[in-house]
Amino acid sequence: MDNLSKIKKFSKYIHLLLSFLLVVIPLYYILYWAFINYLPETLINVNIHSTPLIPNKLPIKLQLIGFITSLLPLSALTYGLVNIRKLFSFYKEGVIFSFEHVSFFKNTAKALLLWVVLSIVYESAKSVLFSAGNPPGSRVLKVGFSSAEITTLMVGGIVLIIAWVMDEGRILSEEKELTV
Amino acid sequence: MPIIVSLDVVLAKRKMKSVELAKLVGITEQNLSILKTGKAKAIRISTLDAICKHLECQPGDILEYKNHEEI
Repeated sequence: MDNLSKIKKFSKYIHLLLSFLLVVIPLYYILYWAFINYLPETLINVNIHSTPLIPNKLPIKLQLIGFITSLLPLSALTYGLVNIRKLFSFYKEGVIFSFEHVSFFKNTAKALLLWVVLSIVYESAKSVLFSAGNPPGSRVLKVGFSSAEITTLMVGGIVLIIAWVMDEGRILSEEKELTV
Repeated sequence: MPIIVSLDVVLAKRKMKSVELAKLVGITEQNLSILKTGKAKAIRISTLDAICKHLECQPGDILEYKNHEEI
């Protein structure tokens, strides 16, 4: 089996996996917020060791606000996944270089960068929502920026550079196609 | 581009069809069409050699340089 056939074969599987993820991830967010009150407490309350927390159930209003906030990182993630899926749909057809490939890479990089920002907003909103039932003085607003975010930002930056390199590759490929 | 490809003129003079020339030269009809329409970015010396051989002409009969002002 030559290299292109292998690319086509594996791209077909990855395309299928991405299609599955595009259904499962939004479903996970919906189920997470719909059944938040039935999930283990460690998932619901912000981990504040110093202050005792009163176990509380999230009212439907806060559940809705939580779900709406979750749509922020979810939209960035879905946008990124849709672009990667489109990229692999080209690969499974055996199209390696085209103008679209470059824009898919650029869009994926943008989605990753956006995902980091929106995840910070989402996690901060979650900390407020989960501690809303705490007594006054124990409510929390947690804004976090950890190594995971830095890693994602770095990956996003690298993908953006790859997009530039891909653009050069596309120019070479086009030149080859237009050589008689 | 200021390079004008007059392959269709030479083909008409020789009363030869594009399909026929493509077969003789050993390139696809699509590639010959790219060349005829001036969309080609490069032409191989071997292709030019084969075209000139079968059309009994000089490279200058097919390719012509024109200034932007002349076009």
